[in-house]
Amino acid sequence: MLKLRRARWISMLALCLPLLLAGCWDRMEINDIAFVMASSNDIAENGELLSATKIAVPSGLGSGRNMGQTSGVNQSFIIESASGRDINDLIQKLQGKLPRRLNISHRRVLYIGEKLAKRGIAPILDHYSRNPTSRHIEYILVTKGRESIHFLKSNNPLERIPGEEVRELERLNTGAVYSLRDYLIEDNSAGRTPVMGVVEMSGSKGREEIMLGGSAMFKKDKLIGYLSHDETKVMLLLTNRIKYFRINSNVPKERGNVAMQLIKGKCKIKPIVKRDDVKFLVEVQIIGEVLENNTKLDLSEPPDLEKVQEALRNEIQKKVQKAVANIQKKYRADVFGFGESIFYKEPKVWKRLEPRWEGIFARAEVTVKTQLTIRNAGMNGKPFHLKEKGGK
Amino acid sequence: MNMVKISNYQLFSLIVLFQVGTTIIFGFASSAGRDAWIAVLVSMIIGMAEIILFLWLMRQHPGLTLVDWFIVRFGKWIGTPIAWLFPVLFLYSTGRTLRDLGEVMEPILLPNTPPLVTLGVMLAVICYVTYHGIETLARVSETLLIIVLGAFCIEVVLLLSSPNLVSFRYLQPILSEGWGRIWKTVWPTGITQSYAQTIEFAMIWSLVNHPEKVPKTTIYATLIATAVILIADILAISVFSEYLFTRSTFPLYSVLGEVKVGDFLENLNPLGVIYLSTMTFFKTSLHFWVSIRAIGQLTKMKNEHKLIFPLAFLVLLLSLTMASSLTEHVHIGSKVLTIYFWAPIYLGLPCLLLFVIWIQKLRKRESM
Repeated sequence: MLKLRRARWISMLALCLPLLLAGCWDRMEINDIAFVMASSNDIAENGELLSATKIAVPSGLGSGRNMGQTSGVNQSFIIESASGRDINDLIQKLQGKLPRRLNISHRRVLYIGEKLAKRGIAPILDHYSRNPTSRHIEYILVTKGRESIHFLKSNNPLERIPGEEVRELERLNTGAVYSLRDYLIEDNSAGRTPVMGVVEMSGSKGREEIMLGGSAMFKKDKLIGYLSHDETKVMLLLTNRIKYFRINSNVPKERGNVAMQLIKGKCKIKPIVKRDDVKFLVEVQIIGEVLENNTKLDLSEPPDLEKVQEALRNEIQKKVQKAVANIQKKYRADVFGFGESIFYKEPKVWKRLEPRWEGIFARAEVTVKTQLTIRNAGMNGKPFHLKEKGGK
Repeated sequence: MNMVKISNYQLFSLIVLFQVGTTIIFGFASSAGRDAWIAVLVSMIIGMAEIILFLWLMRQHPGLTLVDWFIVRFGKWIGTPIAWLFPVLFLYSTGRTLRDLGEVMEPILLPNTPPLVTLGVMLAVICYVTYHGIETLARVSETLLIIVLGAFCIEVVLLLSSPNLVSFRYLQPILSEGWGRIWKTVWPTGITQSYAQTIEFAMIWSLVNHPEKVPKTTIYATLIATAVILIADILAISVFSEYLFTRSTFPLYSVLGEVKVGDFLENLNPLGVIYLSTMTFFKTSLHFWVSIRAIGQLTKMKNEHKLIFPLAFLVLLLSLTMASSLTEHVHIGSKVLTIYFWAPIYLGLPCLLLFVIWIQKLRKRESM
């Protein structure tokens, strides 16, 4: 009898246990959340921060079929903006406009307007790096020429999910796209000027598209200038970040030109320091494939391939030298991490050079050595036009 | 309770889990910057010496536990008060480890749930396992070790296979800031945190099946635990660079958020939650069991189960009130507790014991 009563008690207690499982203060259902896909940061007219967020509308993301006929009613995203003294102030105002709770842990892209970038980004970066739900792997981009809020509005018809286009552009590796983590690390490493990716608007009104355009350099959290497309490529090559690079060149003594695409690019920076005289040896190694050949050279013949290789090699060499010299003289910005290479090798020497680094960097002698290997020459040996003419 | 026996593998898993503990979330020696991994190695070398000392003391007192050592060597009147220091400190450690859980739960996982609930629920589970005793806890640890090490292997593989994530050049230049900041993390935090705390096993060693294998098992377990901490630290530095590594509150938790493999494997933070809950559950339970056993032995209590509920209540109160913020909690841990409590009690007293034993041996030899 006693046993039975005890068993009854235990089973009663056990029945109460599920109550503990179901109840949860932090329950967050998916239909209570507004997923932020991208955010923009600008300066408002009164000097405050102006920030906008692009929020996914789940019903608009539905099946692909009815996407074609959508016209505003069934949009896949909405944009909400607010201005405030700091980001938290902003978020509070934004939240007031929304029936769902903002969730930023799936944000892909963070845009920073040109004007704000010039004024300084330190105040907003602290929020983005401190907030535990914000992640370091989101991309951070400067919007060149226009307020960043315009970039939120663009929606590339190829991509269904808002904000996805920049991520996809990054995946194609056509330009420089840096994550928040990359920026924070570069900004705080010795002997390196941090850079950020840049987006521009291209096309005419009504049919505008986002385009990756070069990169932006920062000094003391302020935007100091942009690198051109070519300079950005060289910067990526020298920092071992290059993925996509097409180069064409004239071949001397031949008419026409050849073009190649990079398969793999590597670079080593070797500092040579003698007192205050700093020299750098930059060793670039490239493996590529020929994509276009308008000359009469037959790439299946080793001597001809040699000529093409030589021409392309010189072209790359010239590009690298030109870009490095330009960045040294014009911006005095060590985007390549030359200083860092000294720091890694000889930290004590670096300590001595660090205060005067900008000047030393600008004067430093840089020797570029390029090695280029063409691994394959596309699907054809001889160019097509050769065959036609050689047919006699 | 003397019938309880645990196997050597169980001891191994107990020690590994205990030593890795919450370090797998909080990171080790992050104030040493990019040289933190050197600090791990230095701490291990010194920590190993400490553990060998504990093992030697165990050999001198076969079958006896930590609290008995002092009573045997110093006599009842001096030895008993000294021995009481240990359960009190272990009980405080119980509360502290539980608080560690709260400190991560609150800002990151469950911001709206009151800590009383998260910690209370966890403590209920801990009471349950403590009620069943060390044998059950040891069996649980066998399984948990596999889960934790498995999760850790997944983490390492995914971190290494994320493109543009891990770059070992951030470890360079080695020792550029000198040994100063390494010593600061080694003493007192480094050598007390994982290694000196192993003294709690002096309460457990006497229960192992094959006492002659205990030293070997303990030393292997220490090596494995150090390897896990070392790998975790090196990865975190290579992902974050010195700047973000030293700045981050939970570097080894944050590192999980950086994983990005292919287009679908992102945000591994659930792994972090697995570490956190298993490690805090395990470590708190062990602290708790050890303190209850020590108190039971000191009071010669027959049924130690009676102690569980009052002490659990005490632990809960302690963990909720011991610090008002994470900053204070960490400050106490690294600046107050280690120097003024752990170092003198976990290291000083065993050294004193060693000294006393030597003198007693010398005297014996003279009198012979």
